[in-house]
Amino acid sequence: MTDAAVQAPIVGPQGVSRGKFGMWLFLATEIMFFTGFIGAYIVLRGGAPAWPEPQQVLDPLIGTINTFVLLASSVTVVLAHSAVGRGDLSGAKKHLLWTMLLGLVFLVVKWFEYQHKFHLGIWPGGPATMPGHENFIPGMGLFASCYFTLTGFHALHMVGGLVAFLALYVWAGKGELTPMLAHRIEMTGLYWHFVDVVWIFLFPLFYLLPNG
Amino acid sequence: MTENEHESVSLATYMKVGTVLLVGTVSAYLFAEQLSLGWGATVALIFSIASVKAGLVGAFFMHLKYEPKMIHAVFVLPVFLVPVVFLSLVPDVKLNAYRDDSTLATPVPQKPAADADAAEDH
Repeated sequence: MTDAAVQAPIVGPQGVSRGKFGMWLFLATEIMFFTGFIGAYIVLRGGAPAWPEPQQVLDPLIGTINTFVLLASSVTVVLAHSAVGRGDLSGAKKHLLWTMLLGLVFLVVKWFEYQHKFHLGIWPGGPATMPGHENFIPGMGLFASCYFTLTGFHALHMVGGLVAFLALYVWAGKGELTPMLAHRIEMTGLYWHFVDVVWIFLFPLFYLLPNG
Repeated sequence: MTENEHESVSLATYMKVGTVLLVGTVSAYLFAEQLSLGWGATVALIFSIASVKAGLVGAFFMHLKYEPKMIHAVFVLPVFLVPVVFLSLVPDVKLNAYRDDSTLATPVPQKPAADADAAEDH
């Protein structure tokens, strides 16, 4: 194990580690990243002459179940962090594994949703976005662009989180609960919760929000 | 609170918050899909629920409730800017310039053919 892996995180005079401060700065930029995209979605949907109703293009029940899965993964992250606090490395590993499994379930469900859209010809510039196609609904093109952009970036963020959790799981498999490992589990957990918060707003925006 | 004091947040607290999040998710689905409350009430309800859920995740799972002011200071600006950005879009959406079919129906002024030919010669 390297020296960097066993050393404790550096804590500043305010009682905040540099890593945590950096992670919060990063999350602050991420808030504005998704705010820009959601703002574009609001303008496009609010200004479009027509827009598909959520039930015409998505299954709100599947979206609800997937939200359920993602929230459950957030719970397992805090349980992993709590286990770390008790010095319970095997408990932390177990909850990290559950987090990864739940994250994977979310992404697999999302992949099947994407596959269904592809099957219907719904993607930016796809046949169902053109008038005359059997699955065409006015506004389908704009919907497809917004849906795949926002949920796609969210899914990419999730993949990044899963890779980080996998690295931590492998690290934890070496059998020693170091202060730095505990710190990194907490930081990755912060990131994961943020991704969860983004989905908390994407879910009603795409799956529940009716046309006015 | 110091770096690791929030590790003492009880498991019971985490489970209670998790339960509220799950109940909130199901409630939002039922309000939007099963009840006919009207557009305004539905939108207000589902986004109020989403905001409460996001607040709970931030306060308890991300431990913002227990963090020092230094951390609050980092994210207060972007959190303030989110509603500012969305509210600044309201006039754009309300004016609905894209939906005004009369502007689309306005014929584009055409140059007389002779003028156009002369312009091409230059």
